[in-house]
Amino acid sequence: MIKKFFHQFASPKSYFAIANKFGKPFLTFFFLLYVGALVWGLFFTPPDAVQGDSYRIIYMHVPASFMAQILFVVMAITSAVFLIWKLKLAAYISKSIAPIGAIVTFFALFSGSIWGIPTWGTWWQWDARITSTLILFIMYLGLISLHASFENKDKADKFFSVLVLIGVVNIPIIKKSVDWWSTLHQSASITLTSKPAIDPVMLYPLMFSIVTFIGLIFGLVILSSLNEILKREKYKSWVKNI
Amino acid sequence: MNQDSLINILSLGDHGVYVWIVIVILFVILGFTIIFLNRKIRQAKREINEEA
Repeated sequence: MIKKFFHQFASPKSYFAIANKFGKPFLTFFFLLYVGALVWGLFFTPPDAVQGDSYRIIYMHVPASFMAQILFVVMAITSAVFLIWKLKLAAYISKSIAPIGAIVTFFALFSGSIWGIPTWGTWWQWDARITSTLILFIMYLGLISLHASFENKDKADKFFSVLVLIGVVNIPIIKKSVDWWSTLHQSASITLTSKPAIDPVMLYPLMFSIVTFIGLIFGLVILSSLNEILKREKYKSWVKNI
Repeated sequence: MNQDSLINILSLGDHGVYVWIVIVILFVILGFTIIFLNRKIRQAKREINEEA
C-alpha cells in the first residue's frame, strides 16, 4: 500500500509539476528571509564579550555546518527509500542533494577557517570536528564522481545509494566529535536537552538564520532536482509536454 | 544617522574584515549556484523543445 502511494504521488512527473511551479518562489522567499536574519544578526546584536565582532560569523557558519550534516541525512533517507521501494524520484533527489551538500560543506569549512584566524590564531587544526567535516566534504565529492563515472545511470543510482548509507555513519561522529575527543572546536551551544549557552539577544537571530538557511538550501535542492529530472527523463513522453 | 556612525556599523569592529570576507564568499557561492542551476534548467528545457 505504501509502495502504491509512493508510485502514484511521488512520480517524477507529479513532483516536477509542483516543484517547477513553487521552487523558485520558495527559494526567493527564504533567500530574502535569510538576508533579513543576517542583517538582524550582523547589525542589531551586541558584540560578544570575549570574541568581539568576529563572533558574527556564527550567523553563517552554524547554519551551513548544520545543513551540511542534515543534507547527508536526507540523502540517506531518500537513498533508503530508493533501495527499498525502487522509487526513481528518491534516487534523483539523492543525486541532486550531493552537489548542494558539497557546496554547503565547503562553505562551512571555509567560514570556520576564517573564524579560526582571530579566535584560535590559526585557520586550520587537525582536530576531530574539523577533520570529520573535511571527510564529509570528500564523501560528497566522491559520491558525485562515482555517479558521473557510470554510463548506466540505474547502476550508478544503486551504488550511490549504498555508499550514502555506509557514509551516513560519519554524521553521528561529526556530531559527537566535540564530546568524544578533546578538540579545539567548542562543544554545542544549543542542545535539545539543556539551556542554550548563548544569550537570547544572539540566540534568536541565530535560530532565525538557521531556519531560513534550511529553507534557502532546500530551495536550491529543488532547483537541482528539477535539473536532474529533466536530464534523466528527457526521452519520456511527459517531458515533451512541459 | 551621520556618515561616520554608518561606517562604524558597517565596519563591524576590529575583526569586521573576517566577517565581510565570509559574507562576500557566501553570496558569491549562492549567486553562482542559483545562476548555474537556472541556466542548466533553461538549457535542458530548450534541448527538449528542440528535439520535440
